[in-house]
Amino acid sequence: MWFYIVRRFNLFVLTVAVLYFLVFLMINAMPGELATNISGHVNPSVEQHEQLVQQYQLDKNWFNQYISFINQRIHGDFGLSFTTAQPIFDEMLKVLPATIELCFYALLVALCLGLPMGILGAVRYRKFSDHTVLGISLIGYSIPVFWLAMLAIMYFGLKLQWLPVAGRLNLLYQVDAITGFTFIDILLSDIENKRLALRDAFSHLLMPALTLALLPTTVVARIMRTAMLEELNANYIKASQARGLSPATIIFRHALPNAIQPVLAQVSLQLSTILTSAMVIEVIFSWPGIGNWLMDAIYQRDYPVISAGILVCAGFIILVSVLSDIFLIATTPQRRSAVYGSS
Amino acid sequence: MINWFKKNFKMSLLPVILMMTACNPNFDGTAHLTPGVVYCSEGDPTTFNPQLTTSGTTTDATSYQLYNRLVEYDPELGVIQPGLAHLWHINENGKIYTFYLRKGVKFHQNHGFTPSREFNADDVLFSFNRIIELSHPYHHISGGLYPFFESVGFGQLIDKITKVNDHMVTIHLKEKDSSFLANLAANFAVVLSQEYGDFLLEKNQPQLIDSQPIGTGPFVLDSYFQSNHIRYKPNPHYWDGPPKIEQLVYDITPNSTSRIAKLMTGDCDVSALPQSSELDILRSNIKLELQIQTGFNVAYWAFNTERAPFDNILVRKALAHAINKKAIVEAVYYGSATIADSILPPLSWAYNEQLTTYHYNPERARQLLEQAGYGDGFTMDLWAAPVQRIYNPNAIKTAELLQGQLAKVGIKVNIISYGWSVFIQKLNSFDYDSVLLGWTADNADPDNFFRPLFSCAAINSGGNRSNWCRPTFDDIVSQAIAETDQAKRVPLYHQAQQKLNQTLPLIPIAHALRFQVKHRTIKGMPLNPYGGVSFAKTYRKKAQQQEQK
Repeated sequence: MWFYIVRRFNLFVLTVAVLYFLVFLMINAMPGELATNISGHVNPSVEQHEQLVQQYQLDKNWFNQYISFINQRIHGDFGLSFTTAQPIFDEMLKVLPATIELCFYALLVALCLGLPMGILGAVRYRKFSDHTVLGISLIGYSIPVFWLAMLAIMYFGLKLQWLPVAGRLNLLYQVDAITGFTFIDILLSDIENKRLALRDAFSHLLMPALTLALLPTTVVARIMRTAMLEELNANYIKASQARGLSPATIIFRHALPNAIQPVLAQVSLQLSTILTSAMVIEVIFSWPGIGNWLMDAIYQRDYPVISAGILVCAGFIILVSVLSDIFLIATTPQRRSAVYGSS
Repeated sequence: MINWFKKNFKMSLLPVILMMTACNPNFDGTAHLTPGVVYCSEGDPTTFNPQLTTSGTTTDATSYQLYNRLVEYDPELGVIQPGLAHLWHINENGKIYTFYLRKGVKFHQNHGFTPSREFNADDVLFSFNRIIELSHPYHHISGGLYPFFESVGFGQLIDKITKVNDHMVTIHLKEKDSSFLANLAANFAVVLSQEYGDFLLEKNQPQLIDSQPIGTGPFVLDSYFQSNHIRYKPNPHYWDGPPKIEQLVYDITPNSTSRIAKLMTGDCDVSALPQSSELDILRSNIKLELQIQTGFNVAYWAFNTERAPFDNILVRKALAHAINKKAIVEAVYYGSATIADSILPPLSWAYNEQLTTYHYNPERARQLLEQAGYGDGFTMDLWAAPVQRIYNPNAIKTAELLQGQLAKVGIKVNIISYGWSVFIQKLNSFDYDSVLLGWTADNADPDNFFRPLFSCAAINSGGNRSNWCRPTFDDIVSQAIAETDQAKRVPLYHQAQQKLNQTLPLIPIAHALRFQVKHRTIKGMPLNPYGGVSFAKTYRKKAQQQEQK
């Protein structure tokens, strides 16, 4: 097991190093001066320039530059944004909660809907409900998320006018961003009619979260169905049937706990998909998260922000996949043999 | 196995259904709000002091909300009306203006600062001396550029400003200027608090005067989150009666479609600059009201006339022939604009109808280029901001059309764009070949289209984007200003337009109509043809409020 973790960790470090190298190459290829692009200091004075050269070792060869670049970045110094001249790290902390919030609720919806759907499909294997579940998941899997978002805006937002289509909260509610998570902030704030504000925040969240949840829901449903089928056909289930246990007990006490573990681990692999779609969703619903922020940066050619965004998002996905890999192996001993076999 | 499950299927499904509903609580969609008005604005203000800028987005967010002027311009009647000065008179030779100031006007209060006295003559002196006196402690704070005032030659014009008593101020001019009062009524000529200035100097934070503003206006700045929103609270002591809304929020939404969507779903009550392509949708929505106003504006394509090849008049003429303004008006403005032949809109009394029109003629353009020695064409940069402006709803699209049209005469165009504040900042270093910009007049005086855009003084202040300075032209415009008789000013302005038309420091493209769209329940918001939105008198119609309750 430890051996496996070390191998994974090596892989992680190596992948991140390559990622940093690619971003480093990208920064070098960007038009404009390297010191400006790498630090975000527009028109630095002579002393500032000198300091930047020191900091990023721009007078040394490319390898030193690369190492000092990594060094700055992993210490949380992502430079300044071109457009606001604020430290990028602080800006990122401001937009990150919105994205986390959106992804969290989407994942929650995906699990709440996807797991029961998968169980239903497995239990009613090759029956009408199973086909319905498969059909829905196939359709859901095939619909492009941006298109669905547009349709939802047109129908629920503009035509029926049920739900707001942009932002996280009506601006008339004066809620200060303490944690950055809308619901917590509303509860912490001292505004009147908190209930209305919570409801408003919920109505703002509903459409983006549901749209974003569609894809992971279908994936969860399919994984859950397969895992559950495998489990239901196992001998111990047949044995418990023979002993006369009730179906509910069999499904929820025996089959589900065994089936759900690998499912949860695999769901965490879906995080990269969610994060990618979340960026699209954020732009469409004007959700002030990291996707929106990055799109703005691209629009304004804010190179330091673009490179920081790539580093953080890609780094995050790499980290999550490595962690979930380890988690998967740790929770399902039967897979370990395969790992050892291959080593 | 399957059959066996089937028997107890309903029972096993029950928790599943429970799980699904638990995660998906009902929503009834009628959540409602605290009273206030949300305005969907098109961009971030660059500062909270309109003295420092000519950008319409900035003045929209500041001029009429946070501040007052000595005199105000009434767009409906077209006359100057009392503001902070309730009375004024001009002496016979037109050089001494005496203002009698209003009593009982209170300044705002914010977390650090509480005014101890009411508005008086010192504040007027402070506000204008900041602009004209280089030695003033606040002159160089925030860059020391006062583009509007420099372009109208404020510093050269004013001899001195004197305080007669606490409620009386006289301004002595060096020469007669028929547009002086109109300039004092412009969005930029706001009155700041001297007491606040002293307070900040003492705290050694003078720069805060422009980011944490104190004014006399109907609203107080509460908070500002860049690229997100600006929040204002009503000023309960406003001299002209406190605002009737409890809160004013500017929702910064650069994307026009998002603004319309927010408007339709009720996240916004009033929206700036709807796009021409969206007008039909807006008209068909019974909840919304579209206000239309002939705009005193112009969108233009300015050349950096100090750079080759744009220093060559033949090249500029060739470019004028190479572009198809009609196509731009149709594709970018969807017809909600008129083609511009002069910098001045045809509505103005000084408009010259005799100007040469540069028709779309790529053949002629190529000939001219050949004459100028650029027969093989060249590569140029075209700067355009990705922000919607009153005069140009989509500068990027305009730039792309120009790119296509110029490709036909062998000119390769690189489009360069930045966010608005960066864009304006970078323009000041004249580092461009050409730029798509525009101008919205601040008052009805035709001078507003000439001095701020073409005078030599406007090069430093950033209004003269063509980098074009001709003393002879400045003379014509100065003569026109010194004249008070309108009939005598007309030929001078005709001459000025003629000169611009022949030398083409910039090519006027179009005059856009002005639009504003709002919910029908929002009242008291006339659309000002000269730019500048005001919420001082805005209110929600009562009937609707009860309906909502």
